[in-house]
Amino acid sequence: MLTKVIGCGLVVCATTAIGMRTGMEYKYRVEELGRLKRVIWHLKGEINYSRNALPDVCFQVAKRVENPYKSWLCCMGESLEKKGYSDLGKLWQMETLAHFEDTHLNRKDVAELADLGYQLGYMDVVRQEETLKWYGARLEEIRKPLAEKLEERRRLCTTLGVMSGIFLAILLI
Amino acid sequence: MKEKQLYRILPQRIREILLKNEVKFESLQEIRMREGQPLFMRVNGRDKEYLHFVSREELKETLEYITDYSPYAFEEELRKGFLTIQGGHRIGIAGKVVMEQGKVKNFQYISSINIRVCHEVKGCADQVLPRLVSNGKIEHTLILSPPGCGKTTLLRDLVRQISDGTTFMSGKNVGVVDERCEIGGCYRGVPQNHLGRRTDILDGCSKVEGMNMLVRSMSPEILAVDEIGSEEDREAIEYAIHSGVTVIATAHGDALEDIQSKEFFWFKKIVLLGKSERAGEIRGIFDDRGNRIC
Repeated sequence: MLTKVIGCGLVVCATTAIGMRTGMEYKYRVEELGRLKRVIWHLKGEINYSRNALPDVCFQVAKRVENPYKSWLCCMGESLEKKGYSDLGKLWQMETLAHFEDTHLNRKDVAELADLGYQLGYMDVVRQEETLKWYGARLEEIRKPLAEKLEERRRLCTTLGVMSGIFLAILLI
Repeated sequence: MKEKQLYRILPQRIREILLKNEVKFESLQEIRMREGQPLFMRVNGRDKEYLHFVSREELKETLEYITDYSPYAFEEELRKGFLTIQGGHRIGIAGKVVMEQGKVKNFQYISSINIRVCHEVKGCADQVLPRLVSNGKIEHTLILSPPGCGKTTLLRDLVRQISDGTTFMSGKNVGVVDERCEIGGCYRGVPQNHLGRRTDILDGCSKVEGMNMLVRSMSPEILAVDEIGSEEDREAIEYAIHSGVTVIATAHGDALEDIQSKEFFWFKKIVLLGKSERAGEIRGIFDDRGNRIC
């Protein structure tokens, strides 16, 4: 009996931990989207102020942000200077996919960021600003409802974890 | 270094042609790419045609490399039809332009790219500089020649030697107004050509405004300017001369008579260049009365 009780306790603890972790992941994604939005805001400001080419813009913004954005922008700047690909979109995509695999952004977030390169570079400065502004707004569009429901979702995940643990414990008993 | 900087902006196929044909960087002067036409290169003053037809994609790729994938950052340069890349190489472009209120707004299609390879000929002013000095002072000098004879190359080396100093002359503060980015070949404001330790450069600035700015703000002892000719240029030079600055300038012309009508009377020395045997050949150095000094 004691073994069963201990086993059930462990099951409930484990499922509760899974629930809490899921809730935390949710919180991390919201924070990461906020950070990405700030990076995009920096990129837009740098283009608007300095009117520099993209490699310089990347290097300048990299000085003001933390990893993984710092390393992403440094590598992006270096790749742009090396001129390995004939089009910016492809190069941007490769670097982005390589740097955001293990972050809290989900696949769709990373795919959208990777596609941003196809919109950058050509036309005038206004177009660059508009593109980055649009993408910043798009990030906010994703982040805001997530942030509003953050506490609710976290509680839900934790509760679901506990409840599923209890359910499994009843089945085991 | 300059070689790598040039090759980096070329499409893969053209890079291969350069390597395959063992075109030496030192002798390469120009690469001309026109859509649907064979590739041309000027090597040692002679045009060479290559059996490679330049495609629209190659022109687009070259433009991406030239502008660091950021044509928006080079709007002003593209509007003027040329830009300077790292290494001081000058890229000229042509094609269908978009006009707005009578001015070029942008290029709709780019059909030709001309890459002028930048070479510094250090020492080409060795024979000239001593003859420009009188009583230990450099005199107002005009370098005169038809296009492509090495005026800018000679001016660049004069600036370098005057700025760094020579065995017979200590270094002087030199101001350079580089309207067409040819003297310094500036990239992001930094000269890619060696212009000496005491040289201040105004890159991409109009000659008249640049000369006035330098005289007022940088107190140069020598002012160097390329391709003068207009009434406004003459007025700006006069202002600089009256401010006690020595002016070294270049102008288009084939003979001394070409400048007499332009009233360049304040120049005490005139260096006449030609290219009957080679570019940069000195046809003569004259004083302000037209007497040959050498």
